[in-house]
Amino acid sequence: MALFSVFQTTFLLALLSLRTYQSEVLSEPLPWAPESLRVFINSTHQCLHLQWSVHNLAHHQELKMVFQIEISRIKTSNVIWVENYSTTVKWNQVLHWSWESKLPLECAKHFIRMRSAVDDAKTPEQSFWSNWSSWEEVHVQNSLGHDPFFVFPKDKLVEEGSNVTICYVSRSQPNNISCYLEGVRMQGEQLEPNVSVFNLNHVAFIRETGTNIYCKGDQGDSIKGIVLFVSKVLEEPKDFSCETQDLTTLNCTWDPRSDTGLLKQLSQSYTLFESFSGKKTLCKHKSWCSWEVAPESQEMYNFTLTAENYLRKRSVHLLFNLTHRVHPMAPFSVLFTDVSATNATMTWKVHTTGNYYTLLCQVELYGEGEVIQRNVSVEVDGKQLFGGLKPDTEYRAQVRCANANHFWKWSEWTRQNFTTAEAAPSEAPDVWRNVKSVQGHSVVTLFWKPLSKLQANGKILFYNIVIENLDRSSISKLLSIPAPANGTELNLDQCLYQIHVTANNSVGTSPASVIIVSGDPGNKEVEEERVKGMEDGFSLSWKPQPGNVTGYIVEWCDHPRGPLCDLQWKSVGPTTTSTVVSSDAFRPGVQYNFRIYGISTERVPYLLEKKTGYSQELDDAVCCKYRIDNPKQKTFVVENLQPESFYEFLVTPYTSVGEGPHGAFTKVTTPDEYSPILIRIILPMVFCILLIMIICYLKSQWMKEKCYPDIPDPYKSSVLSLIKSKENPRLTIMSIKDCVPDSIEVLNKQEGTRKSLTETESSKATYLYLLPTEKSYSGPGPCICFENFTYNQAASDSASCGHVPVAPVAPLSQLGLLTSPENLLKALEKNYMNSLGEIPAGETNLNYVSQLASAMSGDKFILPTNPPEPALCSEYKMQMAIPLGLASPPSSGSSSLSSVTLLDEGEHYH
Amino acid sequence: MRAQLMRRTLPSLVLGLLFLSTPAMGSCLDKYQELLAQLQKQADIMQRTSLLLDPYIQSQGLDKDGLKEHCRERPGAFPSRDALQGLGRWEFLRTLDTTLGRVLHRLTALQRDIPKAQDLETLNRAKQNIRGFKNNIHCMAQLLPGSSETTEPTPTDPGTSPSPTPTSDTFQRRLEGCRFLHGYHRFMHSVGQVFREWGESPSRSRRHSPHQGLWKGTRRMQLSRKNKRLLPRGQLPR
Repeated sequence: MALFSVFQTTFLLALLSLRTYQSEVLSEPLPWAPESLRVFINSTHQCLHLQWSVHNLAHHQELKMVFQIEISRIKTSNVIWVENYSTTVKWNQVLHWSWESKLPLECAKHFIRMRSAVDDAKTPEQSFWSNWSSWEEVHVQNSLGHDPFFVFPKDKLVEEGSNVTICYVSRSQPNNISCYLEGVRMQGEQLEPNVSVFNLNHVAFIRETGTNIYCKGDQGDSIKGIVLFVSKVLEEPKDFSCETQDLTTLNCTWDPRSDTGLLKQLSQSYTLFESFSGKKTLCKHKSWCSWEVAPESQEMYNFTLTAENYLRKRSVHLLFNLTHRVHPMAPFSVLFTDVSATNATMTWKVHTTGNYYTLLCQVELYGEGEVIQRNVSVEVDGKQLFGGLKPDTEYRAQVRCANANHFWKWSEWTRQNFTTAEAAPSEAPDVWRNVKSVQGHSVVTLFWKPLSKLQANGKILFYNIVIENLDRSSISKLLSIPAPANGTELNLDQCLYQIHVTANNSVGTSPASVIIVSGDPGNKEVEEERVKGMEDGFSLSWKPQPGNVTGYIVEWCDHPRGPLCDLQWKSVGPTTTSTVVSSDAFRPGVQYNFRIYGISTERVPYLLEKKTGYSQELDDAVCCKYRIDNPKQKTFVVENLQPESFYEFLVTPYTSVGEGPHGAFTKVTTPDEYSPILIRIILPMVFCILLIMIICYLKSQWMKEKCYPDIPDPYKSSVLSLIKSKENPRLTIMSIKDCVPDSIEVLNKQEGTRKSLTETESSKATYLYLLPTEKSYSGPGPCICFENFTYNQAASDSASCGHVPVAPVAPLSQLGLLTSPENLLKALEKNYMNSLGEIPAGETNLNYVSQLASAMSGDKFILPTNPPEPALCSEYKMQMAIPLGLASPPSSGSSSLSSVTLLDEGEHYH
Repeated sequence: MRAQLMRRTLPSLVLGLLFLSTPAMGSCLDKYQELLAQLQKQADIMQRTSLLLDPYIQSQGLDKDGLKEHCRERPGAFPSRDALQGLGRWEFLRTLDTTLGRVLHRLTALQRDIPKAQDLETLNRAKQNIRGFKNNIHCMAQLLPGSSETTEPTPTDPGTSPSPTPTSDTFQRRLEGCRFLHGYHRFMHSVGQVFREWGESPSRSRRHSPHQGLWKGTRRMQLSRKNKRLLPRGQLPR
């Protein structure tokens, strides 16, 4: 146990002595510690550059070392970065290290220190850290100036999508500074009392001139800001390719993709580097670059295209053999030699791309819808013969070449046109005839169709017509008809003629077309058949001829209504017995006649069949045609047209030969059916009504007297008939002679006791009811004189005129009662009684003396002193309407007027 | 966009036509009233902010609330209207010529910050207009009474004209450019008013100073006799 204790103590002592030694060693300065540490600031890139050296290294000694660098912000204890930097240190070497700060260096103080350790196998005993160097302080704010505040970083260039930290540094505390990004206020964090920080994440590209970020003080008068240049992310060039046309210059092209979108001086640039030659060139253009091929015939090229801006590099590589990238220039001097009607030789030259290069050239020939393609191997000059061409035809030739050994790209086409020479027409013209017999002669009209371009082989200049009399073979005649005529007229006798027609161009004559013409037109009587037109024309068929025929001809007129029927024909072979005749000239509603001829082996045509029909029969349109035989007639009425319909008409002259040319149709729309009828009825009616109204107006007085006189004749009155009808023999028309007139006496009335109009209304109304007035009067109307010869004239006059103004309007109920004779009588009686009863004493007294009453009952009323004399009057006289001014009595003295005076005045009214 | 382009281009075209009638170098329009009217029209057109300021503000992103307010002429950058009106005619023309020379140099410096070819073209047109205007100033100076020497007409090519040292701070430079252009248009407005006053009172000359002293330190050019003969002295306001 004691032994164990001694051993343990010894071990502990040994361990302690070892620790003590180690601590002594560590406390000594490391012989290779970093010295002369200096810090440089790059504000633009927000970088700190450290520079130091390691002393005590032996001459030519190299040592692997590790330098631990520590960076603090604001205060030394706030370490924000620790990094171990390993490098090999040489004697007397100055070491460098850089660090980029995310925060602009102006925003805060930074402190840097470092220590070192040997990391070399040669000196393992030195593998521990040296002491830290002293802190180096970086404080950029000291050199800012005297402005109230500042914003950092200035003019920073970042890529789109980056994160950026911005700060402002204020000279004063507290501060009320607001910061904005493109007008939008930003929210920041306070880093120090006078420093605020704004973190922008994923900044976006806004414009080429950069993004404006600015801060303003609370007064708003000072503004500070920065421009943040945000570039688009540089993309890798696409489709990088190089080729040569002449083996002396390489042309490299690429797609630069989108521009990084900054000011010109900040935009990306392109560099071309060739690794074999070690040459490099800065490209002037963004999408292509030229490269001079080395004169020493370098075949292999390894290019690196580098796109670069301030932030990024993008490279693409291309390795190729120069001879495999030959893109020849377009051939030149394309010529055509030995051009005939059917052959031509094409020659061309190519640009030399080296003596030993063979080119493959492609030649194409276009003409008349055909394409001829040839491949030719060419070293210097190219040549190609084309045969089987068509005469008088324009051809377009083109040629291009490529490297025959290593095809890369075809050159551009070089084009040239040429035209082959003419040849004699290859086909005989298609000939037909029309024969008419005129006065023992035959008028033969020859027609021929122009040769097609393929048949003519050039420009047809004229047609030769040889007329051979077969009856008298010695006689023949030659006519030359210049082109482009397509027919001629011949006057022949009744002999048999053989006519040869040939077409001629500048080179030669076509084969002849032969036709036999005799005096007999061959138009034997055959039955005409109806055919129906189809969409594509007329389908015609005929019976095959038992004998030998060389062919058939179908003949028709394109314009059967026209003066020139425009004769057409169609030739078919001897084995054909049907055909479809079509023509653009066919019109609906027009009848077309077809004649089918057979051509005998003697080439004599004879009529086989006739057919007629419409290409399209019109159903919904009425086609009328009128023949006007009188040439002097200038008008024509077309009847039985439908109302409200659209018609087209034309007038064309005709002669014995046929109709004249058809001009334009005149368009007419007929009016509707009912308008004329209505006009015929309404107008006379209006006229009659007007006439009647005028007559009535002119004869109104007569009509009035006859129909409704002012004073009706009682003898003509219907009242009488009514009375008679009631078989009342006591009632009859009163005769004046039988009348004992009543008298109404108006007595004088005191002024002061006179009542107002309203007070006397009832009496006045009673008076009015006696009057058969036709009209009501508005307002205080005139006095109304009532003359009735049943009363005493004087009394009547004195009572009625000028004293009592009457109320003009009678109650309708009472008026209504008066319409019947019974009611009238009742009303008379009643009102008379009322009037008598209601007239108050002291007023104007109206004394009514009934002749009947005096006689029958001996009334106490005083009879008039002057009994009236009956006047020679058998009917009522018209009531007189007196103007108020005249009728009204003077305000004073009226009551003193004697009845005589009134009578005198009243007499003037008769 | 098209309308904006028209708004920019049209005044320049009008100015171009005006300058067509202005003999460029060597010969001048010798009718005082016509030349004065031409200067007025040119000044009226050159004061339009659509020619320079508006496109600049837009291209530089200064068309934001809070920024636009700071795009105001710095006091003293250009002579005020009162100062111009207080000058005699000789002094006025000389001041105008000198100021426009500075404007030309500054516009050249501004080109660096303009990325779009369209805006650059606008700027170049404006520079041509200023050169033409300066030539007309030269011609007007010849027509003033007692003129025997005057400034040299502006060369077509700015050549080696020194550019002002630009501020390294892009934002500050941008604002300064904006303020400068604002001042330029305001200045041309004042110039137009002064020329208009010349037309209203042709016989009045403010504080007519002996021009010999005023042109000290400036380049002088003796007019050719041929040019002198063309001067219609009798038509000038005395």
